Amino acid sequence: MSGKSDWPNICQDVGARLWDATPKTIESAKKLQRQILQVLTKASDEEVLKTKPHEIHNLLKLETSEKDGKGVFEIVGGKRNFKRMRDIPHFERFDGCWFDFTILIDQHPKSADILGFSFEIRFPDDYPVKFLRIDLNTPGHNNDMRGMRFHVHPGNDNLMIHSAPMSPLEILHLFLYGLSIPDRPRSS
Amino acid sequence: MILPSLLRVSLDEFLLRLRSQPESNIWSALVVSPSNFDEVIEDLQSGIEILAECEVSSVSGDAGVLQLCHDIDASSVDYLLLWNFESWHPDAWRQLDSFRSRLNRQKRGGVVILSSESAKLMVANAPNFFSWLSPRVYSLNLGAEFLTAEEREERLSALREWSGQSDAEVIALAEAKELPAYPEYGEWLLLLNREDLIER
Amino acid sequence: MPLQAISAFYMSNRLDRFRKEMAAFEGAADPGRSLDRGHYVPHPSKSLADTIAGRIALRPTSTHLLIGGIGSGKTTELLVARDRINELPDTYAHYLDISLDADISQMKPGVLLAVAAVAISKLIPETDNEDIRRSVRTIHDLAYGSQSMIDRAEYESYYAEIYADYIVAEHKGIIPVRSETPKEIKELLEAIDVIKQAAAEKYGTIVLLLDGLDRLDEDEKFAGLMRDVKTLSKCGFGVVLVGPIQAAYGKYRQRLENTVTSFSYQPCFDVERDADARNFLAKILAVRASEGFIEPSAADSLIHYSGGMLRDLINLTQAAIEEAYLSGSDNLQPTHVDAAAQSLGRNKLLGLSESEIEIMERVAKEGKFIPKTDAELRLLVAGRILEYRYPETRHAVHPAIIPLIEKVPVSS
Repeated sequence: MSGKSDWPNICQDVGARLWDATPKTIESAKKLQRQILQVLTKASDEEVLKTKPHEIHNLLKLETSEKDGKGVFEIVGGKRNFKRMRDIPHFERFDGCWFDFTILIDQHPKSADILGFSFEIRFPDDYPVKFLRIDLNTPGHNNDMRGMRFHVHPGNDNLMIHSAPMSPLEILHLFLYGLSIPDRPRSS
Repeated sequence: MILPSLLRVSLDEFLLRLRSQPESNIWSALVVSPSNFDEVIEDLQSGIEILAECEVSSVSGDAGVLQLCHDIDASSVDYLLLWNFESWHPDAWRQLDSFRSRLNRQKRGGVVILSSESAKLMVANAPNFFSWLSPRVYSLNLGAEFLTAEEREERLSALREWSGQSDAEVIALAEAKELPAYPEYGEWLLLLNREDLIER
Repeated sequence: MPLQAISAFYMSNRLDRFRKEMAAFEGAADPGRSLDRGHYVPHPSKSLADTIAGRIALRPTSTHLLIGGIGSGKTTELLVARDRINELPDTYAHYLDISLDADISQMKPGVLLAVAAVAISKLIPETDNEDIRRSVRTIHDLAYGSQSMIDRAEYESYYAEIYADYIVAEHKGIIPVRSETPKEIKELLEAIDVIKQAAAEKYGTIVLLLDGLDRLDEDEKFAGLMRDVKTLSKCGFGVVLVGPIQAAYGKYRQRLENTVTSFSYQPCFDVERDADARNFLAKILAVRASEGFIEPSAADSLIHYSGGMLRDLINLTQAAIEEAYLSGSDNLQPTHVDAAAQSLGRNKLLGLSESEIEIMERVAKEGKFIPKTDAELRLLVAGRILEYRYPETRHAVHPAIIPLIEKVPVSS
């Protein structure tokens, strides 16, 4: 194993290995949406999330093309916010970190597959890292992304590393309870 | 004359309300269009199990008041969905009213699902039962958890601004299988009712 | 500090706090639980419970009727009367919700007697006395029905199924109601006569507090039960029972007043005109809620929108706490009460006709109301129009309804 030319293969192998370990199937989009509602509301009760219960159910929405139990669902958590503007409705932690997300699901009559998602958490202005985004691209034959379908952007839209094999609910828990901001950041 | 109607709540809001309640005998009612009964019962049952983290089962009123009271009494679950009152005449509601005390449970309570017509019969003939439910009698706003047309357009607008592309361009790229597999494009196609173009 | 530690540091979870506050207002469904928790607040003036207990002290086998609107607090008064009476020497008050043992929508003369007889028979201690044991069995069989083996020759008299040379005959009981059977009533009275002495030896005079009959929707049916009440009194028992508010306005009012020793009315509390009533309701809130949880202006709002109806106060408060939780607030504020009152008002308008709205508009404007028609009585029974007796008799549309009917366009 050596050389620049091996990296695409290594990247693909790592990507495939991680994808194998990633939970991909759920019971239904509606059930996942309710589970997310439960997790967010619980975090609000614990005052880890500043967002209030009535705000949570206004921010957490569905979109679908479903007919006869089949179709694509989307769970949206917060409004679209490409420019990362704080005045656009989002979920907010007690320490000022804030986030939103979208999840695409392919619903079948008896089960559903996670098609893709995007979870982005933004840190307070005085924190050295601006944001963290975890993306699962939809399945595709895009060669640029081969092996990197499931990846993390650590504070930069152009930087990508493979993501840990987490489900949407696990990522949500990470955003709520992990990723705590230390009082004194470790010096670089 | 148009009277102010019952407060409309979405299913998610109702579930949050239920979740906020203590484990005591609290009952509510939801007015639902009969064509949606099955969907609502299934959705409620699954939602209550997740949000309120308790066991729930449905009890039909189809066999009459005495059977209903018996089934409620015999049930060991935490929370009950009572439904199927559409065949009930005024006498049945009067009888339920007289049995109101038998619905005092040690567990959580429940929700009554009924049509607008049945709700009016209940109010007129079971005033004690109704007084006990009140003010937790709501009209179910089915589908309120879905994006409105305005919200869909808002999201499409943000996507267009982000990519600098038009809807037609995105569809053309998707048809040519040249659209990047970003989740943003997946959402875009769904919002345009072209989720068929999302590669699987 | 990791977030898990921070969340654990916030020992009190917001949901738990709000559930606790709501739980303190759940007694509307089961007034007994509220009393057990010490949530009862004494009335500003002498309560009906005290009045009735005083009358029982003077005449233990007297009969008392307590009527009032739905949610006016009759059951609570009955339970408090029980406690007061039980403080008297040689007297025992026994509370009974008739609706738990009988289908009161089918009540006929004899049923009340049977239910009371069963309750009294359960109070008798274990005994070797064969007469008493037989009488207890007789009461049970007459009340609930029984099976007996009878000679085939007699079978035509009963509904029966063939069983060898004997037939198992089903005797229907009085409580799952059937047609009047003077023979069975006579047997019942004889059995009661035997057991009452045993009961008196242990308890002194037994006073029966009968709840649930206020749900009888027809005052004629209710009036028909008075014979049983009189009979119980003649047998040596005191009786206090609740009745529907219709009893005060129907054609049987005179008969009822003549049958019982006293006829009391459980009113709404006039919180608009009686400072003591306002303070009383304020105390009910204070004794249940945590200190500082209900903002004073929110408490005022709750009292106003309750109209002085105790169940509405309790239910409204619980619903307002729910609003406060959903809004993310730390305590109960007037906006939460407004939201809950909106729902209460809309609930009370459900199913009303144009003519009923017109009646309410008239009462709101003129303040006068004498219920004569069925529609008018229904408005009173359902608590859409409230009746106050102190400091003066007056009627008012329920305050939760008023803002909503003011918005309804006036019909031309």
